[in-house]
Amino acid sequence: MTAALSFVFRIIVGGIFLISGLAKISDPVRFILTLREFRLFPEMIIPFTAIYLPWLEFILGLFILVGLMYRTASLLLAFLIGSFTFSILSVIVRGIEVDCGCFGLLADMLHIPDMADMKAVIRNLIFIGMNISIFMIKKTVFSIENYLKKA
Amino acid sequence: MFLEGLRSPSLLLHMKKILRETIFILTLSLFISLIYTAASPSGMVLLKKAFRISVSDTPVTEKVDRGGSSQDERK
Repeated sequence: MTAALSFVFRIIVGGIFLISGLAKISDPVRFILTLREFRLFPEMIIPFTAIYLPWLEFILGLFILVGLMYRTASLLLAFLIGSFTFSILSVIVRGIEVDCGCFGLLADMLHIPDMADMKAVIRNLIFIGMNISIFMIKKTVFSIENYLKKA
Repeated sequence: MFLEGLRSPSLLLHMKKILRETIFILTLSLFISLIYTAASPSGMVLLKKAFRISVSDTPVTEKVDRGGSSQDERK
């Protein structure tokens, strides 16, 4: 039962971050502008962050989805979402209204509201919970790691 | 009992595994992001900008200052 739950969480979290990573990779300039609007990061590191972060998100999502090093990937993703949540909270506290930038182009295409508000914080906390569950539950189904262990 | 659990070799091995996998994932992401960005035309501009910002600190202003002072001396 827990293995099936872990699998469901893997599909949800892995799929969402794989797609959101791809959406950010396809439009790095938009991601740079979003990072600038947050007024949280020094200008020097923004281009590096815009290049690196979407790919990290994509690879973590992919690894969780296919079940390769998925426990470590889920732990890393929990930390990453935690840092996103901290950034959103800082924007809310300072009273700045900005786009969250969480889903990049995908938010425009699917007309999803993508603002940095409390809804985004709650959504991120749910994702963190799912990632911690994936990490804590040691068994799962349909994963490359299981296949390699059997072989 | 909790401390004994923390000192157990299996936990240490588990932490080593997590650390090893973390380094692998972070490095893989870095390599792929740099290669992809360097390969795409719009990404190359972004990469150049990123490196220019990190490289151009004080030496450029020093050169300008020296040039200016030498011109003043000639006058």
